[in-house]
Amino acid sequence: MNAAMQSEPERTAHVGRPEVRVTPSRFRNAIGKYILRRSKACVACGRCAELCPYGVHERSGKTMARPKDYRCIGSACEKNDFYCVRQCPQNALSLRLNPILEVLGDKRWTPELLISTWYMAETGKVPPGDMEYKVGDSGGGFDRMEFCFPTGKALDLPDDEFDLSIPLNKRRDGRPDLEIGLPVYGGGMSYGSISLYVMIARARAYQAWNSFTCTGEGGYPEELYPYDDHVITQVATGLFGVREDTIQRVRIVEFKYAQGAKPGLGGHLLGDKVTPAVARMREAVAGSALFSPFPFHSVYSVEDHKKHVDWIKHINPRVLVSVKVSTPTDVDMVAVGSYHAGAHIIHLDGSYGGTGAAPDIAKKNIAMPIEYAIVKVHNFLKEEGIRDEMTLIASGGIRTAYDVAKAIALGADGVVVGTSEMVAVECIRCAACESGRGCARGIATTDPELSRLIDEDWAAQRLINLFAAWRRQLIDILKKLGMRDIRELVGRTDCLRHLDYE
Amino acid sequence: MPKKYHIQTKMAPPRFAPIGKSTILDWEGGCLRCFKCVKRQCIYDVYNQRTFDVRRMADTIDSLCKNCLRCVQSCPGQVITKVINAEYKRLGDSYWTPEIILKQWYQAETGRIPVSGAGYGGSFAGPGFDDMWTDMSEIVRPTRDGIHGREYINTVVDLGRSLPCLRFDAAGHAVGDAPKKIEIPVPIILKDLPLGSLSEGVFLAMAEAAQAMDTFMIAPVKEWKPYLEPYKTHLIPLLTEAEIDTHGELIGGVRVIEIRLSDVTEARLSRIRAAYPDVLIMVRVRLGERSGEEALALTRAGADILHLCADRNGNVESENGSRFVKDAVRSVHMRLVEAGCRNEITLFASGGIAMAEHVAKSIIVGADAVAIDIPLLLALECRLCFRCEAGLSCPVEVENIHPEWGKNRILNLIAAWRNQLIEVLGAMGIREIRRLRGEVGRAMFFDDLERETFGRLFGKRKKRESVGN
Amino acid sequence: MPPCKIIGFCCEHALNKEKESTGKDWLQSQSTVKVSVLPCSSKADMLALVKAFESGADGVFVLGCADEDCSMVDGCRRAAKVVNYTRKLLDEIGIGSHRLEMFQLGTPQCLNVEQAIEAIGNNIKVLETEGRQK
Repeated sequence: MNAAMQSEPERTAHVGRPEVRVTPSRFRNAIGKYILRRSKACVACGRCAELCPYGVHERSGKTMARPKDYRCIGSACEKNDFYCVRQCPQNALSLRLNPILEVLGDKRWTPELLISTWYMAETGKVPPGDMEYKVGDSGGGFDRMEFCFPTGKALDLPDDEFDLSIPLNKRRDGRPDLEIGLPVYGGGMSYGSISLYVMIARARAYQAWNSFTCTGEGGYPEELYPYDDHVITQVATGLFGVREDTIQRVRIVEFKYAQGAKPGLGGHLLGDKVTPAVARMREAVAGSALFSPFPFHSVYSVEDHKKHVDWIKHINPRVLVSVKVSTPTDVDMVAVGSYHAGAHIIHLDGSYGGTGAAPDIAKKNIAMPIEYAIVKVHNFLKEEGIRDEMTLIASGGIRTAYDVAKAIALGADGVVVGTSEMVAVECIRCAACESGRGCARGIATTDPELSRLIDEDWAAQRLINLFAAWRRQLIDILKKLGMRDIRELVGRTDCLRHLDYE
Repeated sequence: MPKKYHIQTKMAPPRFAPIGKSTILDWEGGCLRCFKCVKRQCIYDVYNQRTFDVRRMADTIDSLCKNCLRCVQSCPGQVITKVINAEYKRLGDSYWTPEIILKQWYQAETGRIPVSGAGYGGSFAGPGFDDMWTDMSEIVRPTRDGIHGREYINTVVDLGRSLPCLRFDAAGHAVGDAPKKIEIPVPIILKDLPLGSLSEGVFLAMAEAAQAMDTFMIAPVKEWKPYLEPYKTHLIPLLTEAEIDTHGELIGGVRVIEIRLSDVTEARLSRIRAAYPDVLIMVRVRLGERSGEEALALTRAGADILHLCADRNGNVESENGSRFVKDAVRSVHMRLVEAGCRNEITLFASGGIAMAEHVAKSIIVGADAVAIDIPLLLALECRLCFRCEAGLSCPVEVENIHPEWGKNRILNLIAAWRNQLIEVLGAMGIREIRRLRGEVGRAMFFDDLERETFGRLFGKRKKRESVGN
Repeated sequence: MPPCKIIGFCCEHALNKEKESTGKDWLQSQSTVKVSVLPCSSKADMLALVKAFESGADGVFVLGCADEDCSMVDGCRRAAKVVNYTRKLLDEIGIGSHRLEMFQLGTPQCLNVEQAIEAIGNNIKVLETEGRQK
């Protein structure tokens, strides 16, 4: 059977690039960095609509429509000839910063990061103007790093000449040589923590980009069957929804040992969140609380861990095994242990990663940020001589295309994202995923009414757009570095500069 | 199996409308009177819980609103907006930030640990306690599952001295008595309050809470009133050396006394010990340049407990610049370890301890337990406006609280803190908080991580100011 | 002449800005004016303004931020509208529109709160001398 699997050509060759389609916000009043107001003095001459290249102004019948100011590049436009505020013959336009920025976002996800991610998800383009779409304001890690681009090395080639795909199996162990089209795949989000529509949308988007999404620990809904080749089954400590079938229908299985946001802590799904649908999926009783313990109560050593990996490999001979761990002091040991247990992918989830619910004390304090862990593990695997046989994936605080590139330059092969996807489908990071009926914006909820706020076509397109914009940025970084393949960037810390270092 | 220690919690709503981070504003003018108003679609049903705050002439839903911004983004007339609350911005100061204050209010109200969705949104690292992370166990070491009750994680600490070794006489019998020890089930005692609009109600609330949790409350003798007598076994009178002689009657019946350090010598300590043989002697040491040596001298002089104090923001000033309480406690701990007598004495740390994580971190750097003050005031709804320090009235009338309510709020707060301690202990795979003391191997420090990882890549780090903010 | 009674409705964002620019807390340090602190100047509705006169105020002022500084985007414009309308009413019922003024902190007409109070005080003085002359 194994041999038959090997000879089967893998469906990883270049797929057509998914199409970007403009997919505006679901809400009437989209939030932008600037507010542009049109006063009563406007005589609807239409000059602004002629001038603005960003589509802020539109005519609606005999009058001008309310400006789509979330598209406005604001004060960065002043230097342009087409700056509408100055060009308006009636002086009817006024521009200012949106004061709502003060209540939006936080230091890691600044208002500008949220708004620029929304912009990318809508348009598939890199935000114009003075929007800060590369880094947040956390004062350390990725936010204090930047690329140093050498002069005179930039490549002037069309985008299609650049390769962003990465291999997931580097062991040469006879299992399929999977590749993904972008150095990004989706993090585990369970049915129950997000709605089915969002799950499907993620699967579609990753299918379009030839990558993967992950089920999380909540079972494998039938609706995902059409996307089997782009789904990772997660096996976590509660083993919810883990069956022979769900192991066999996928190409990658992920062991979740810990989650960066709550390392060392178990999960607890409250009884009233265990709806009949959730209970069916998790093979539990509706209405009774579900505990996901910590740790795997069958794993207390690397030997136990190997037993787990062997078990999965035996049940599905073509599957790759990923091991998702958090970032304790000895994360490098854990990574080497995973290698010896036979895993293909070591997935490090840094301490500032996302979650549907976790104690604040854990999110802030337990385990180290991903920036350190990547460097530690990359170097240790290199010293042990096994770096070339493991795929190192980083997650937990990867927000932007620049974070992706920096993580790779620090030593990762690729990354896993979660929060950025949620933001792309208009998460506002209110952090109230768990309260009441769940997410007010219809993302992290199983409430039938709320989850219908999201249309899967809309959400899938927003995700496709986001990755299109990221791809553009990643290629741009490669161009400036004079590289043609993202794999060349792995571990190239010489391309990075840390602003806190002399 | 002995009965598990448990702090009873009960909802204790605030007496005043709490201050939320942002304010919702809506106007009548411009309202289109839609058939289906976005306010009615609020999934938290916030708008139906509106009451009118006469003082601010505004609606009091700000603390209920969860910032989903759906109404703001959906209102066709754009007559709803949300902005930062100016009152929120004014809360506290740069150390006791509005975020910390709101979180303690929540815990004092509910007794629950703060849980939220989405990842951590704060600074990468920062000054003070924010430049360290606690560790966790994974695959290669077992964790403990404490919070769901499958395993019991012990938070008991011992107060008092330990013998460095046992001595035996020729016949093989142990010589001398073991020193007296007291156990407290949480590594937290209640410290005298440095500010606040204080009253009998406040002191009673603290004393009752200390008794209910079986821990201690420190009470300066000038605040010692007859109504505190029933709680004597859980009070620690704070005295100057002179007051020991004048307040003998007060010491009868207490188990621990605290003395302010004024050149306490061995001779004086042994005199006090002789006068009150059944009482543990705690000495308050103002952290400073020389506190390591002072602590060593006091340990050798026979003190039972040292209480290492920083100022209320955790700063330790000395002629060589200022240090943070965490680092100062660490150096005292290390001095005693080097001198081989750390196990003989109990160390308390206080000052700047604002959140549950600070308790764990203080213990990791070498304290046995902590004493807290301002968080208690926060539990009593204090807004840290510091008006009381200027002799002005308290906006939340802390002086008028009912002791029962106050006790309830303090218990809620400390119960939530203890549960958070259990969370981090479980993640570290530690079942005994006594084992956490000085366990820096169970922590990661910003400077070390930077040096080990980025230092190898980027060279020399610039001066520390640029970290966080 | 007894000192006149002035009531102020102040946007707390404006007061915060005043505190930031002058470095002292005007609200804490003053005792001449009765102040209602509001989350936005636009929250001073007509009823509140009229009631202030009913309670015996000689003058009332509304303090907001400059238009481009308003944390509510439109708050000050809305407040100005309400104040203008109320002033008309005050004229009609004979109280006199000059007893009510809107100030926007940070505009040339109002660089700080003291200036606003002085202006409204002057208005009242003028009205009263006019009244005596009549």
